Amino acid sequence: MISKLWAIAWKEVYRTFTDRSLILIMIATPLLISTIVGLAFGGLGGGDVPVQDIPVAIINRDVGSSFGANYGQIYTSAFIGSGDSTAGDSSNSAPVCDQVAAETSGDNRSSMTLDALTEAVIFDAAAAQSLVDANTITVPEGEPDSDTYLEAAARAAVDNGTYTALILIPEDFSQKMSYIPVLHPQIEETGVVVYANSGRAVAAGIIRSIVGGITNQIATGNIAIAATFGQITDNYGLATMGQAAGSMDFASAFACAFDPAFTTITIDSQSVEGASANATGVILVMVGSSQAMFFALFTAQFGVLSMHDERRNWTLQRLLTTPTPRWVILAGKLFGVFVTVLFQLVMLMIALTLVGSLLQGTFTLIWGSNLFLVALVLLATGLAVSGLGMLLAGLARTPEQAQTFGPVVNIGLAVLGGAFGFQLPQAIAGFSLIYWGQNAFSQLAAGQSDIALNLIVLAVQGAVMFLVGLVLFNRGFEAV
Amino acid sequence: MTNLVEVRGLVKTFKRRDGTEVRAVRGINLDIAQGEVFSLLGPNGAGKTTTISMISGLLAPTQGDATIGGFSITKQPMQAKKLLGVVPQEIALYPTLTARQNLDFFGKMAGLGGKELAKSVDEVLDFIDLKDRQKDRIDTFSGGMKRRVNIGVGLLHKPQLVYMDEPTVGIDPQSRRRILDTVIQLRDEYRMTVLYTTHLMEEAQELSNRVGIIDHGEIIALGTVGDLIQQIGEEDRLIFSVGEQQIENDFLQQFEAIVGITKVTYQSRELNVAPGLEDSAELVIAKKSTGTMVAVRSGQVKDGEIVVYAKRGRKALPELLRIADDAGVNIFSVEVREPDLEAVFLHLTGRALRD
Ligand SMILES: Nc1ncnc2c1ncn2[C@@H]1O[C@H](COP(=O)(O)OP(=O)(O)O)[C@@H](O)[C@H]1O
Ligand SMILES: [Mg+2]
Repeated sequence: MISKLWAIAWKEVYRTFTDRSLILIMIATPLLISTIVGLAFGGLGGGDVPVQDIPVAIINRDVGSSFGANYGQIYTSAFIGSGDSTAGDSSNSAPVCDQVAAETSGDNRSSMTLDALTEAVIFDAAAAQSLVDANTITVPEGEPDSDTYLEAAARAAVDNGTYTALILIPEDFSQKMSYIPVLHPQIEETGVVVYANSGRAVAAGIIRSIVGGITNQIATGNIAIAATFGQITDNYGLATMGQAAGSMDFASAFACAFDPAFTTITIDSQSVEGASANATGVILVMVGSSQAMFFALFTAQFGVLSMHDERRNWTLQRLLTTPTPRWVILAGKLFGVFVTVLFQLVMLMIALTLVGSLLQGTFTLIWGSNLFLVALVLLATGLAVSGLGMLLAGLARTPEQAQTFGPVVNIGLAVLGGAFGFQLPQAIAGFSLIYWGQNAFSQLAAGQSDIALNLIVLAVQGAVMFLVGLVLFNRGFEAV
Repeated sequence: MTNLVEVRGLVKTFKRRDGTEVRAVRGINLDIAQGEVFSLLGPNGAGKTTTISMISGLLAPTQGDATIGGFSITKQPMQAKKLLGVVPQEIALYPTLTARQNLDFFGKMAGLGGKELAKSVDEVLDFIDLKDRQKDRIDTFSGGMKRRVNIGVGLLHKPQLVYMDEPTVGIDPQSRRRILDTVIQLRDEYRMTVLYTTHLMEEAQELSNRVGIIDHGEIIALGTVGDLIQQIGEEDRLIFSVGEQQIENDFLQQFEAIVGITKVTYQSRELNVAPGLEDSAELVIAKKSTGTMVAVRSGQVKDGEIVVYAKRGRKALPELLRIADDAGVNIFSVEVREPDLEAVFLHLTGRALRD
C-alpha cells in the first residue's frame, strides 16, 4: 500500500513540475517579484551594504542590575559604537570587571559593521527638543524631561519618518535578564521595544532582526551559563555551591560574564554581523519568503482541487477500479500536494540564494546558517500552506467556488502577512500564516533562532486546517 | 463452463440535487462465462456505464451484488478487483504524461512492480502497437491512439476479465476497426473474458458470444446473436420508400402473391426533418424511423414505407420493382435488411437503437 501511496504522490509532483506554464507561475513569477522588490530596496552592488544609514533612535533606560551588569549598553554600543556611546563607560559595571573591559575596549567589531548600515543616536531630551523646535514633531504630552515625553517624541519622530525605528530598553532590563545563582536564579520575561515605521518594512525588518539577535544572544548566554551552573551544582553538591554562590564576591565576579564590555558575550555577536553583512539577503528573505508562501497557497489549493479534475477525466475512477483502497488514493494525492509545495518553496529558496549571492558578489547563505531550523520552518510552512489548501477545498461546495474564493483568501493573507511590502502590527498580521512564516525565515536569516512560537503556530494551524478540511472534503467527495 | 461473473438483482437509483430519483439500473441479472465475450447492447442512457461501474466496485449498488471469480464486489472488493481490468468509456489517462508513464503508473496501481512491470508495459506497448510512440505525451496522440493506450492500461496485469465500456466512441472508422480486431485477438488468442458495452449493434454482433440487450436499466433480451434473431424470425426485410404517393391495397396484394414473401405492410411515417431545414431547399435530408437518412422533397412531412418480409429478399427484388413500375408507383429508395440485432431491438421496443 505504501508503495502505491508513493507512486501517487510522485505522479502528482512529477506532473506539476513538468508543466512549463505551472513552473512559470509557481517559481518564475515569485522569484521575479522578490528580485525586483529586493533590487528596489537594496540596490545593486557586490559587497556593498545595499541599505545604508537607516536612522535609528535609541532610548536606553536600563539602570543595570544590582549584580553589576548593564545589558542596555550592549545595544547602544552595537548601534553607535563604544566611542561615542554615552552609556559605553563601565561605570555601572562591577569593579572586578574593569580590568577585562579595559583590555577589550575599542575592539567592538559589531559596531563597525553597523556603522554603515545604521545612523543611530541616543534619543535624549535635547534631541526631542530640537525636533520640537524645528516643528518636525508636535509638542508631546507630559513634562519635557519625563520618560513619557521622551518616548512620545521619539515615537512621533518614527511616525513622521525622521527615524525608521525606535529601540527602547526598559529600566529593569538587565535586572530581569540576569542570571545569578541563588540571588536571581530565574531569567524573567522582559523585552526591548522596537517601534518601527510601517512604511519602511524592509529597513525596519533589518533593525528588528539585529535587536532580536542581540537580545537573543544575551538570553542564550545567560541560559547557557545557568545550565552550566546547574551542572556544576549537580557535580559538586548543592551545599558547597550554595555556599560559594551565597557570597557576594562570587556573584559579582560571575556577573562579569555578562558585562557588556566582556568579550564572550558582547563582542562578535554573530547575529549583528550576520544581519548587516547579509542585508540584501535579509530583504530577499523577507520579500521572497512571503511571496513564496503566497504562491504556494495557490499550488496547494489547485493541487487539492485537481482531485475534481481526476474525477472529470475518469483517472480517479480508474484508480478506484484497481485494488487500491480509497484512503491510499486520497493520502497519496495529498502527500503529493504537500511535497509539491515543499519543492516549490525549496526551489524558490535556492533561486533566491543564488540571486542574493549574485547581488552581494559572494556566495551567501541568505536564509541563515542554521539549516536544520530553516528546514523545520520550511516543513511547518508547507504544512500550514497545504492545510489551508485542504480547508478551502473542503469548505467549497464546488471546485468553481473554491477557485473564486481561494485567491481572495490568499491575497487577504498576503496583505495581512506583509507580502506586499508594508508591515501591519503584529496583532493584525498574526492572523496570517504568511506573517509567521516570513517572521521565522527573517529571524533565521538574521542569525536568530527564537522561532519556537512561529513553528508551533504554523504547525498547529496547519494540522487543524488540514484535518477539518479533510473531513469536509471527504464528505463532499463520497459519491464518485 | 464456469461463470466468472455473476450479477444478481443489481439496482442503482441516483438521487438528484432537486430530490428526484433516476432509476438508472433496475434489477439486472447476468452470468458471464469464462472465456466469452459478452456484450451489453443498448442506446445511450440505457444504464450500461452504471452497470459496469457497479460491478467494478466504483459505485455502490442500491441493491443486489455481483461476484467476480467468487469474490463479492461489495464485500471483498480488493480480491475481486485483482481479477479485473477496466477500460472506461472516457480516456482515463494523464494527458501530460507519456504513454509509458501512464502505463507504468497504472501498472503499479494494479499491483505490479520491478521487472514484471517493465515487461508488462513492453508487452502492452507491443500489443497496442505504440512502442515507437511510448515516450510521447498522451496529449500529442490522436483519438485512436489514446483509445489504444486506454485499452492497454486495462490489460497490464493480465486480468482474467476485462470490462470495455464503449471503447470505439468518437474515433475514425480505421481506428475503430483496429480496436475491434484487438478485442477479437483478446478473445481468440488470449482467451480473455470480456464484458463489452456498445450502442452499435454491428459491434455486438461481430464480437460477442452472447449479447444482453439493455434498455431503461433492464435487460430485455439475452442470448447468442442467433438466439435473439430467431426470436423475431429469420426473414429479410425489404423497405421501399414511396414518399407521399397513394398506395392501394391491391397493389400490396400483388407483392404478397410473389413466392417466398410472407408479409407486406404499409405505413406512412412521420419524417424527422431537422428543424429550420423544412423549406430551405429542394431536397432535404430526413431521418427515417429505421435510423437511416433519406433525401426527400422539400415540404414533405411523411414518407410511405412498404415493408416486405421475405425468406430470401434479394431474390425477390427485381420482380417487386417490375410490379411497382407496371403499377406506376415510384420507388424512391430500397433498403434490404438482413435480420440483425437492430431488428431485434426495434421488435422489442418499437424504437431504433440509434435514436
Ligand atoms: N451520477 C449520476 N447521477 C444522476 N443520474 C445519472 C448519473 N449517472 C448516470 N445517470 C443517469 O443514469 C442513466 C444511465 O446512464 P449510463 O449508465 O451512463 O448510460 P449508458 O452508459 O448506457 O449510456 C442515464 O439516464 C443517466 O442520465
Ligand atoms: Mg456509457
